[in-house]
Amino acid sequence: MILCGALPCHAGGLPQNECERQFAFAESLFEESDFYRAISEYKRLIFLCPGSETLCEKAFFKIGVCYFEAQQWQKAREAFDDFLHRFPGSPRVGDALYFKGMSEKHLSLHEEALDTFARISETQNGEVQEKAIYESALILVDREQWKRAGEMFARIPPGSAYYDSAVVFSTGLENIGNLPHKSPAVAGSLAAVLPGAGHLYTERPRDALVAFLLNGAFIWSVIELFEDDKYVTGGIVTFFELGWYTGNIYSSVSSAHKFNKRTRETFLQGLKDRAHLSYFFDRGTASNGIMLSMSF
Amino acid sequence: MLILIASTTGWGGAETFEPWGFNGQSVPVRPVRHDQEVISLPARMALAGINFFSEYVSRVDGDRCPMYPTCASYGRQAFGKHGFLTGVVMTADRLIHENTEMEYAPLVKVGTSIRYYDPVSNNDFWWYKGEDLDK
Repeated sequence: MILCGALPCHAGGLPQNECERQFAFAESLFEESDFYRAISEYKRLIFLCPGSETLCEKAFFKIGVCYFEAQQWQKAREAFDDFLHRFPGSPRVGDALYFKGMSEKHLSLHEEALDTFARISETQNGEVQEKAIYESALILVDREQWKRAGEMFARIPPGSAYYDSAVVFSTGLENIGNLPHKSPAVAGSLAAVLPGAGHLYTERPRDALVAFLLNGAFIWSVIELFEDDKYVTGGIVTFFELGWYTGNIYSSVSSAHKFNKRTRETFLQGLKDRAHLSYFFDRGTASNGIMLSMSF
Repeated sequence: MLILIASTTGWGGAETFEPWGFNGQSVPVRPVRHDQEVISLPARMALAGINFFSEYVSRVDGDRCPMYPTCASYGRQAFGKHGFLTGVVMTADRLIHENTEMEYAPLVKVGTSIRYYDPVSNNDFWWYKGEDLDK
């Protein structure tokens, strides 16, 4: 990267045919998925053939793709930023932005990824724009912003390869409010009134039995100890019982949250399975593609 | 001399070659546990109790916990992450819920055994938005 920065493409360097051979060698390494060495060879080309603008542009782009394919997300992000800075008028700007956005998504930089995909949808057309909208919607699904995600899916036009998949999602998201739900407040209140009742409400009967028996045994012991005037021992057992009692309430509330989370995740996974999209990179044309499969 | 150099530099092991690691980018960095430095006295006492259990009771009683982290480790992490009061509550919660959790928790291989993965973050995600310090 430092090498690239120090040596911008300008006139001079090897003859054109030598530059093409160098680029072909870098491409062969890329084809073999030897991304680390391919990056070195693309950088060598940039160093040796500064006059070949077209090859330099491709090389800068492919460096980013190499990092992306090798799942070096931060490096990929930096490489595509560098590419976009150097070649703002390139026909690969859309793809570079898409790769940058996907790298940010993998880095869990969701806000940044949404900004990058928004930039694509504002400045690009066609498939790359639809892909960006679709990926934005998926990020919003992961962030549980159902309404915004539904609106985003609705922006994908009929005829797009993503349309059917988007319909599956937007229809499904309309029903997400109808999923089974357990109120954490109700679970906690029930557990406070009768230890174990909150767990029964959240459909965890074995936990309910454990909570009931533990609290019952400790409360019984405390009563017996105080009735026998054993205040110190009673105090110690009360201390432990308070732990079990508050633990039982916490556990009930937590169980309700886990129930709701699990229900949502299962539902969303079902949607993702029904509208499965796979991505691939066409090495011949250095562009992205999709494989779409739908389950009925 | 050559053998000595190879053994001290790792040159002898070709499988350790990892070009992506040269600049440190691919090495995952675990969050530093700053919370241990400011742990309260009651939490320290509770940790001492857990350590006593692990060192003396568990050794005799045997390793029977099917979860990962084990209940003792979970308690240590809960006290370290959230302090004494929440640590007590979360440890009690773990002991109550571990039975049913085995139906939902993913499996992980720990040494030679398979355990159910139930970290602290699995039980505080609904109120704690800070950095996860799961081990």
